Amino acid sequence: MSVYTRFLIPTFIVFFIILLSYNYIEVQAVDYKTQQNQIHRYISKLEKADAKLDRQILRMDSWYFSNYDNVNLVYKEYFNILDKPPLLPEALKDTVPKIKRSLKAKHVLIEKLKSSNAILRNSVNYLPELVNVVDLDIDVALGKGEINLKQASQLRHSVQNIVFHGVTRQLISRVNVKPDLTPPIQIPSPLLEKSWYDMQKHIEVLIKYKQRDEDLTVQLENAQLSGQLETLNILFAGHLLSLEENQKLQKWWLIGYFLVAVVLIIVLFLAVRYYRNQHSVHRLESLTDPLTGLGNRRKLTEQIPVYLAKARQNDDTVGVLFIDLDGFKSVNDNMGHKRGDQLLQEISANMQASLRQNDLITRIGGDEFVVVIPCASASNLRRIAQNLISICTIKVDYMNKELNVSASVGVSCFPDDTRRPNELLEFADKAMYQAKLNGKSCIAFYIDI
Amino acid sequence: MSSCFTWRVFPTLLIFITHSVVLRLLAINLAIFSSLSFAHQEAAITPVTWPDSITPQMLLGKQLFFDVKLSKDNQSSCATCHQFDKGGSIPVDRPFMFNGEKTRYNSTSIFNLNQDYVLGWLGHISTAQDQLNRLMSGKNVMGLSWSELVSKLQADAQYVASFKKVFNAPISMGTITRAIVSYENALVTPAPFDRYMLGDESAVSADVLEGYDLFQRYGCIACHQGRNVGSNLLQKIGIVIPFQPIGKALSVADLGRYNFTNKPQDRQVFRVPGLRNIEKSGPYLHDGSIAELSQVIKLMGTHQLGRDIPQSDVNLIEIFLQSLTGKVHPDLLP
Ligand code: HEC
Ligand code: HEC
Repeated sequence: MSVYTRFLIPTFIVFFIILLSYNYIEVQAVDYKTQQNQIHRYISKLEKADAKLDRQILRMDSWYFSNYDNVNLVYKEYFNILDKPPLLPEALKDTVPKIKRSLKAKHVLIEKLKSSNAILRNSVNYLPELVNVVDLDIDVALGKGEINLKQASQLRHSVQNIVFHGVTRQLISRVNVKPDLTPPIQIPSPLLEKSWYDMQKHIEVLIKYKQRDEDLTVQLENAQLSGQLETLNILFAGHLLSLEENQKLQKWWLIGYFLVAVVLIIVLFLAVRYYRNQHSVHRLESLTDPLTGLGNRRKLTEQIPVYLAKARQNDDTVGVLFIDLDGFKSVNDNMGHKRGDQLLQEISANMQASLRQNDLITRIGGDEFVVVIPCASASNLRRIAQNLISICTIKVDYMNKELNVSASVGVSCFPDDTRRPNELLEFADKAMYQAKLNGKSCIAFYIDI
Repeated sequence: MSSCFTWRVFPTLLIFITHSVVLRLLAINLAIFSSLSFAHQEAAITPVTWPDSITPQMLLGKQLFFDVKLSKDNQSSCATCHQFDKGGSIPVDRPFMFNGEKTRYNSTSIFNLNQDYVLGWLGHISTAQDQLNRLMSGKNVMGLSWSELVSKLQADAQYVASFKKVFNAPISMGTITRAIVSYENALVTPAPFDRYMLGDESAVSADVLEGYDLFQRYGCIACHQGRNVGSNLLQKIGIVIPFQPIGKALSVADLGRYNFTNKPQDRQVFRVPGLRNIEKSGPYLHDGSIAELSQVIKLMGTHQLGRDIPQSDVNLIEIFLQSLTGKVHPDLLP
């Protein structure tokens, strides 16, 4: 795995995470929006229910009234709505239970209003018949001679006063004066007395419940919930505002995160690149011989197995030439290291130039070189070795003296000599030693010793 | 909000009345006024109809309702105190419970439960679910607690299978309640008078219509109205003339809603009973103290309306009330 792919994967992951978090915020925003819509709908549902309930209460005292089922139903609906609020934000949490409590309190009043309304309704309904009954009984008493005409007229006048001035005035204009219900005269007729008594009782009931009706109406006016719904609305608007700000803030944060991530990625990228450069330079250095620019021993030990593996694959051969310069020490001793180094550089360059692209030449010691040559027959190896010896064979003039440099070469072959990489080098070394024994400046094959 | 809208119409009618005009004219004017203000009362009673469809849930509820397994001694079911041929009630003043005591009040009808209003004589039961819960957790009505009932039913493979099929859920307090309540709520009893209200003129006799007229004119309609001809309103018994139970002192139970709220104004306050199937569901009143319907009608006239209703009118009103006797959907019968 290259360093770059190693670097690319975390980069992708980082971008992916940023993408996900952006997506998350967006989804959250959508969630918020549906939640808001829900709350909006909820509040308008409450408002509608509240208006409906108030309308039903109003209706009880009007002639659109039919029965109490409607007000019960509307109350129940209202209560159920309050019972099942949607998910509410913290700021709104208290309001719904509060409204519910107020509604319950209002319901107590509604129940009372219903009760008194029914009786009041009934009493008003009965009023004409009441008057009729008394009127008829006055007629009867008159017929029986229990009262005279004047008394009859007095009684009638009194009924009229009671009903007109007393009752109807109360009904029309909230005047709260108790009418005088006592009969204007001592009533001699038991029948008439009973009906008068009935009338008294009925009108008392009527006045009592009318009064109650009015009180309750005032109390209900004070118990209206619209104020609380308004508060809920205002709180919700405030909540929306803060939510919006919050969201804006969140987006800014995200942009911040994004920029930081980009910077981090760039820094990482640069760091990786720097590291890689450093690494390759270092690697090259560690594998080359600084003096000659050839490969060093490390390169050799690293490369031999590579060559062998390739040869094994292709059923090929690999030859290893161990070259040791003869007479180089005297050059060094007589002419100084500087000249020796110069000589080494020349020889190295020449040897390198004589070899093929695929061949490997390394300097593994002061005057020791190893050349690895793939795909070569023994005769070829011999020829190459010969050639290398001739490259190394140099005469140097020094103070009228001739210093002779040449080379001894030991050759080992894969796979004929051995199949093991380290033995291959060892055998070539041994062969080179043999070549030295054989008189230097010559070639020895391991196979021959 | 002004409650005086209606009453304000008065002056326009009364302008024509002067001091010298006879009372009869006043009466006529008042009659016009009240017929104007209460002309709507055609809709004071509204018709009921059978449920649109009978669901498996209802049928499971039916099975439970009639099953004596619901009591500890396997002696009584819900139907013991809520008999179908007795208007959903039981023909005793107060039935005996599992614990050997009598219930506090006369059994209310199981038919035509008001789903939008409180239940029970005192209006102390918030819903049918609440009622069942009270009945079970009290343990004294049928002797079983919820957990005992659940495990008793779980031992019955047929119930386990039915609940699985209907609710796709095990037997529990919740599913039992849902089944029974859905059944109860389906127990609606359309009657001949409903058919009349829905336009079938021949559904009721002329006497019924006359009785209905009296029912309205005497003012029964003020309290007994709506879908169930009652059961949607709280009222004191003894509005005009204080009510004293016949032949006994006022007991704690007779104080009615006061027992629930502890408020003095709730003394002798009861939920106005619905009058559907009233013909069958005697004895009457909260304590079941009155056996005859005609007697209750008279009593209502005296105590609630302050009027003596002559026997002929009582008979007609009774005939009207009889036309409110209806039938449960045949599939919901036991
Ligand atoms: C021991 C007799 C008895 C049994 C058994 C019984 N009930 Fe009742 N039920 C009553 C009485 C009495 C009332 C009236 C209670 C009150 O108002 O305080 C009542 C009231 C009710 C009500 C309220 C009706 C209304 O409109 O107010 C419902 C619903 C009800 N019962 C359902 C049931 C169910 C379901 C069962 C079976 C689980 C059941 N009952 C078993 C005696 C009984
Ligand atoms: C002010 C309201 C009011 C008026 C008006 C009224 N009632 Fe009642 N009615 C009640 C109340 C409350 C009860 C329950 C009383 C109790 O059980 O103690 C009741 C009970 C009844 C019952 C017994 C129901 C049962 O299940 O036991 C009948 C029947 C009845 N009323 C018929 C009538 C008739 C007929 C009229 C007209 C003459 C009438 N009512 C007028 C409030 C009223």
